[in-house]
Amino acid sequence: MPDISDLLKAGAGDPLAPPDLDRAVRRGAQRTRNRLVAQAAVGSSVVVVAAVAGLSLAGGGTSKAQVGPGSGLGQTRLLPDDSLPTSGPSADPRLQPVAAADPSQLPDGFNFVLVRSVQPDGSLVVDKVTRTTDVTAQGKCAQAQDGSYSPADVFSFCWSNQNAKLRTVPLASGVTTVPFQPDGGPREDLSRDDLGRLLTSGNDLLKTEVYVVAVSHNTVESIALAGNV
Amino acid sequence: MDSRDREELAVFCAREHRRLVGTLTLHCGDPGVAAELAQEALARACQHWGSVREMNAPGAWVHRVAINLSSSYYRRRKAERSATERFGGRRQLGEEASDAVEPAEVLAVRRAVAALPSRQRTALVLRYYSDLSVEQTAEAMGCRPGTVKSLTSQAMAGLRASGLADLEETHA
Repeated sequence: MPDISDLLKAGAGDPLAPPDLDRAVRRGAQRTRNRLVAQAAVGSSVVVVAAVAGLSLAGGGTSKAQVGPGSGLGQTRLLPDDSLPTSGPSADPRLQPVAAADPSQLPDGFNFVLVRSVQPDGSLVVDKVTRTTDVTAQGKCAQAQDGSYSPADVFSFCWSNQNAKLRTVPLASGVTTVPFQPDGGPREDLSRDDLGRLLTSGNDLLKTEVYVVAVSHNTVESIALAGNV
Repeated sequence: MDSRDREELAVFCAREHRRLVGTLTLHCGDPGVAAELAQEALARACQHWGSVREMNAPGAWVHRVAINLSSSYYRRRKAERSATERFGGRRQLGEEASDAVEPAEVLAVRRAVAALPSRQRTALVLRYYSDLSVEQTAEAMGCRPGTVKSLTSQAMAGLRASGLADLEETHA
């Protein structure tokens, strides 16, 4: 009879490459710096904006694209760009086009974009954009700078953290009105529970993919699929 | 970090790296991803080395971090795959396992382990590949030692049922 340990050792293979200690130390140090910066800049969006630069996407590499005008009422899309990756999940044209008709509507930083449906031409109908106001989550955004967290990790944290607040930002005219803004004001904080109710309240189309869009100076820097809601 | 810390850290990383990659290969099924996650786990150890070095079992701690990373990777990949399939079923780059050239028997073991339920897989790998004790495995998984024994027993049964030869349990 084979020994289970021997069997597992055979299945694990032989990791020949030695650990890259220098790289591990660099990543650890960078992460600590980011956390300290985030803690020092409580309430400041500077941290999140800084995290945009050099963002590494999970599975798709960093993508950059120019934002073009919307293709119609409530429809938003990204125009193709030569710098988009040519392979990986992000290379799928049906996964790329997520943005706002008017990029100035997207605040700098990480935006959680809830996508309602996919159009035949590949553009996505966006319901709304949220951003986190939670300090720890902002720290995680900052840590995404060196690839230590992916946008999906950031979103998972915000989604699972009872204390995380997501701030809703209205999109261009024609986009579905977001509840919890009774006065139609430009912004309102949503708790996780509020957002959960919003996403499950009577409209199955709202229960769909969530993307993280990083914006800097009104330019969409990167897009990543964060997960399903 | 002074030179003494760095020396200790180097010894720790050299000691744990091989086991980490193997553990993660069995847990997530992809040696390439396993190497990356192992590096990430070691980066976390570097970040918290001041407190990690004082732990009774720093090796168990870094394995716990590694397993958590692997579980997160699983969840993320599942969401990405689901979305991709809905958008047309195109396979993602990197979905092809990077172990495609490895011997069939090695792949058979990986597939059998990958088919186990998550907690059974975690208990089996930590216990019989990483050589953690029942207590250390329980601590890493956040459960009771009795649960670890039960999970490993179920995992062994699962491996036998998957067609692998009768297995001998040597560390009970």
